[in-house]
Formats: sequence, C-alpha cells, structure tokens
Amino acid sequence: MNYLELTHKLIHILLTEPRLLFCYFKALLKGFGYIAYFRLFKPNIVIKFPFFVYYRLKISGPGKVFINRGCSVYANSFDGLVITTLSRHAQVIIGKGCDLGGMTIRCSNRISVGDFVMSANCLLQDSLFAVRRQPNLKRADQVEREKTSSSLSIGSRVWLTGQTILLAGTDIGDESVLGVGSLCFDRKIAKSHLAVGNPVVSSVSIERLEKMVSSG
Amino acid sequence: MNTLIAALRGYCFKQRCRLLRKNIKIGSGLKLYCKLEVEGKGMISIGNNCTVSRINGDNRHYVTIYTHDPTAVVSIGDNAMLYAARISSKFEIRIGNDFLIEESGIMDTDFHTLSPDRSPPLETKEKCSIVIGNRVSIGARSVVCKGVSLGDDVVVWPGSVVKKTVPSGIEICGNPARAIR
Repeated sequence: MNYLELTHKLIHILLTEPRLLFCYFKALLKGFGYIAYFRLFKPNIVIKFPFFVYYRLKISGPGKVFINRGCSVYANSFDGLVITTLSRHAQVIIGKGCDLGGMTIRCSNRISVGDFVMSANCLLQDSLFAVRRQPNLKRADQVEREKTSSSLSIGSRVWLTGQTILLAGTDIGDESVLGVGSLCFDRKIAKSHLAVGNPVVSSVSIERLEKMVSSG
Repeated sequence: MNTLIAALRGYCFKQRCRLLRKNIKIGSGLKLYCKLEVEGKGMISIGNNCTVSRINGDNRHYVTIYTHDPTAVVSIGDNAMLYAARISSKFEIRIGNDFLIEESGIMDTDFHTLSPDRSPPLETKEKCSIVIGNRVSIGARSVVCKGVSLGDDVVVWPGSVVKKTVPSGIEICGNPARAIR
C-alpha cells in the first residue's frame, strides 16, 4: 500500500462513513506509537509506517520481527496480534497490507507471511511445543526432528480462516484458502487451492470448485 | 528474579492451602508464574517441583483446576509443567511424572446429556476416569476427552482431539486423534 492508495482509502471512508474516520486516525496514531516504542527500546523489531492497531498487540522475545508497511491489527475472538520469538535466531517476516486479526505466532526458526494475507484467530507455530523440555525427557526422533526443523511459509493473498493451526513444514501457495478448524503440517499446498481437514490430507483447486458450483 | 517471585508465590499458595483448604495437597518447590485457580471440594494433589505458567507472550490465559464433585480426584505427579492448562474433573484424573501441557483442556465428563433439557449425564467412574502416564506432552489447543488413558512417552500434537486410549510411545494428531506414520 503506497501513500496514493492510502489517500484514496481516506477519501473513500470520508465519503461513505465519516464516523469511521475517527477510528481510522486513532488506529494510525496507536500504530505510530508502537513503531516509535519498538524503534527506541527494541531494535530487533522493525515495523514500517503506516501500521493500524485497532486492538491489542504484543510482540516479545529475543528474535527478529519485521512487519512491512500497511498492515493492520484487528480484534478476532478477543485476540489481537501476539508474536513470540522463542530463540535468538528466530525470524518472523510479515508482508505488506496484511489484515492480522487474532493471529498468534510462536516462532523458533523462521516464519514468513506474504503480502495481503487475511487471518482470523489462527496459530502459526514452527515447533511442536512452545515450552522447551529437558533433553533427557525427549525421545530420540523428537530431538532429531527439532534439529532439522523446517520453516513455515505462507504466500500472498492467502486466506487463513478461523481456528486454524499451521505447524512446521507448511508451505501455502499464493491465493490459497485454508478451511475452518484445519491443521496443516509437513505439507505443500499449491497455488489457489482449498485445503480442509484436521490434519489436512489433500487440497482441491478453487477453479475446479467454482466450475462445480456453477454447473450445479 | 522472575523465578524467585514465582517460587515465593508458590510457597505462599502452598501455605494458604495448608491452612484454609485441606483438600489441596501441594509438594515442595511449586513455581507460580501466573494465577492458579482451584475450585471445588474434590481432592487435588500436585507433586514436587511443578511449574504453573502461561505461555510466553500470552496474557489472557491462566491455569484452572476444577472439581465438580466431592469425590473427584485430581493427582498430578512430580516435575509437571502446566502452561495455560484447563483441568476439570468429576471422577478421577491421574497424571504421571514429567507432564507437559500447553493451552489445552482435560475433562473426564461431558457435563450434559444429549436430551434437550441438558441434565447431568449418568456416568460411571470406571468408564470415565482418565489416566495419563509418565513423560507425556500435550500440544496447544487440544482436548483430552473422558475415558481416555495415555501411555508413557505419548506426544499429542497441537490441535488434536483425543477420544480413544493410546498405547505408550506413540505420536498422535488430528480430530479424532490417530497415530502419525
């Protein structure tokens, strides 16, 4: 979202519903406050202006967090945006123009989210557990998997619906949709596919689905 | 510093339980990083060196242990790590040592029947009690239902709904939970 688009959006809001303009400016101001706070006190967190905060935001942990410009944080089932980095080399990268509603991110390796992603109360976690156990309590294959833990990546214009959980090894292509209450791990979802299920087993092309619906 | 405060809070909680609430037994070295809400008249026992906390960065959830019957029993072994856990019992929940649970629930009753008046169900202790072995870990946003027994070293992946008994040394995932690979 560049500044031209921003002004277009502002004029649109002003013409359609002038009351919302107040909320819009409040969110913008709040976002600016967060940007200033993180720039001053936490150099590992970088957020680009403009950033709209309509609800609670909490970013903590020693890892690196980068949020590109034009993102907004909404409320979704009493959750705002929670980002927790669990280790020093953890990286969270969020693209531009994302609508982050109720998203919880717990990152220990690398999580990348593309541009213009919509989310509703979902959990992104690239390790099985957020809490680290003593190594003598883990099984051998579990330790091995943690060493080779793969990253989690989400493409552009993806829609993550409510109550979804994404674990390590997930790779979602551009313009795909993840159904309500589904869980995804170690799976690659191709471009513009719909994936449903706990756990996700297969995905259907959205183009084909639309053809089926239109043909009855 | 945080650890010190947590240990102090745990000590205060233990002493308060010893004086006022005789049905709660807590071992030494409890660490309270967040609120521990215990309600009901059932017997609750927690072993030594347990940690009660919320997941780092999450400030909504806390740990609750409810008993819905005076004869209910909840017993948790040593070195348990309860992170935003919700345990509610009507009959019996027995948990072994080195237990880890994150942001999920364990309940040994359905609370209501299927009939429209939603009256309390007729359940027996033999069918509904939950037994969990040693070194079990349960991931975020999952539920353990009534009558389930988990063996030793079981790993429950995040987001799963456990409805059937699981033998030891198996990783389970999904709704309903099945073994992986």
